[in-house]
Amino acid sequence: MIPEAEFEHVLAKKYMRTEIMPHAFCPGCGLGIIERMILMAFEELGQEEWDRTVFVSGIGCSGWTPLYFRRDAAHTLHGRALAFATALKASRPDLNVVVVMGDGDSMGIGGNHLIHAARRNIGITAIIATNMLYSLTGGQMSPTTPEGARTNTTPYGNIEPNFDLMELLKAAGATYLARWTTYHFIQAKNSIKKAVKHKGFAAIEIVFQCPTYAGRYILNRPDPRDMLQWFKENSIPLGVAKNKSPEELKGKIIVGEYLHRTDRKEYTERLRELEERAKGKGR
Amino acid sequence: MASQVKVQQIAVSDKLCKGCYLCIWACPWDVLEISEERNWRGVKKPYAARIDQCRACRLCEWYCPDFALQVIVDEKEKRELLEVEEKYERPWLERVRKRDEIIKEGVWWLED
Repeated sequence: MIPEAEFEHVLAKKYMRTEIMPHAFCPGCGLGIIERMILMAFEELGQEEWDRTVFVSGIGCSGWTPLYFRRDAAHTLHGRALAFATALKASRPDLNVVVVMGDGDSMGIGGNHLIHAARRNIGITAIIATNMLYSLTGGQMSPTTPEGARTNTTPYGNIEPNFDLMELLKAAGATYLARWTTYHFIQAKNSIKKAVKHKGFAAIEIVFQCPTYAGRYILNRPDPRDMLQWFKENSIPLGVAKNKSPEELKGKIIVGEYLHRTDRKEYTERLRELEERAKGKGR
Repeated sequence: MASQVKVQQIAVSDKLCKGCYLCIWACPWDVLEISEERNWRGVKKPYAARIDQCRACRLCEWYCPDFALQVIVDEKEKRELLEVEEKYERPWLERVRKRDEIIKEGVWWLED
């Protein structure tokens, strides 16, 4: 029997800074589940992959996640996580660069960096944690807030349509795309595993529960259990969603692996080619 | 999912548990329950009330956001089957046993 006073989880003991735990997150926050997805993916990938991984994060609740890992992490400016990660990957192409961003961080203030990272097809794994509003600052409207939802800054309902990140990045030129919720645990973990090994820009959108703001304001479900139940009932796999009309899909989360292509060249490879060409000409 | 694995203990940390009860929502076999007393952090922790029903599927562990819960498996002993399982789940168990042997070789949560 393990005494419960000084108990530490197996994964946490191996990969996390347990001295600064418990987390700063609210009770029932899905970011802890996303942390576990990442750690379990790396447990299966092996120690070698873990040793050459660097985490980059922006500002927001999601910016906290890599700071709990016993691994090099850069906590950067708001929205500029991908800019930092691009520089890191360009200078050290042998590293796995994993960026954990929120929806405001990636699509709101850093939307420019996101589409251009996808256009360059640079080998970064972007894990985009979406909770449908800005939760760190108190529940303001964000680019992923559904139409008609009430938040702190839209008390009469949101009049703007929300982003469809998968379509945006597909058009921009990303080469691995997947969207899951925290309910789809195994699928998301497998996607992260694939994305880390993938050469090229890989983006995984994970819709997670924020019981404190998204639960209270948008879904009227302040209990994390109810929110996960809502994800279970309102997420449709990609194959099933193909045969349905747009009216049926309104307000649903379409989950699945959207894209996996290998025909586009990665940015750091192009960079090395250019370097060698320039060296040859100079002499 | 393991069929006849005996679970020794479901350890819930005093320090880490925040009382969101996602573990209770996730459990398909109704093992966990909320305790009556509050601990020193003021949280009514979940505890394994019916541990003989636990089949070590580890869903509670996976959905815990705070790394506060762990299913500890007894590796020497096997669990005794419940009466209901003997009656209705025999064929299913036989099928699952094959998968168990595959799982044993790899990482414990690795499927196929």
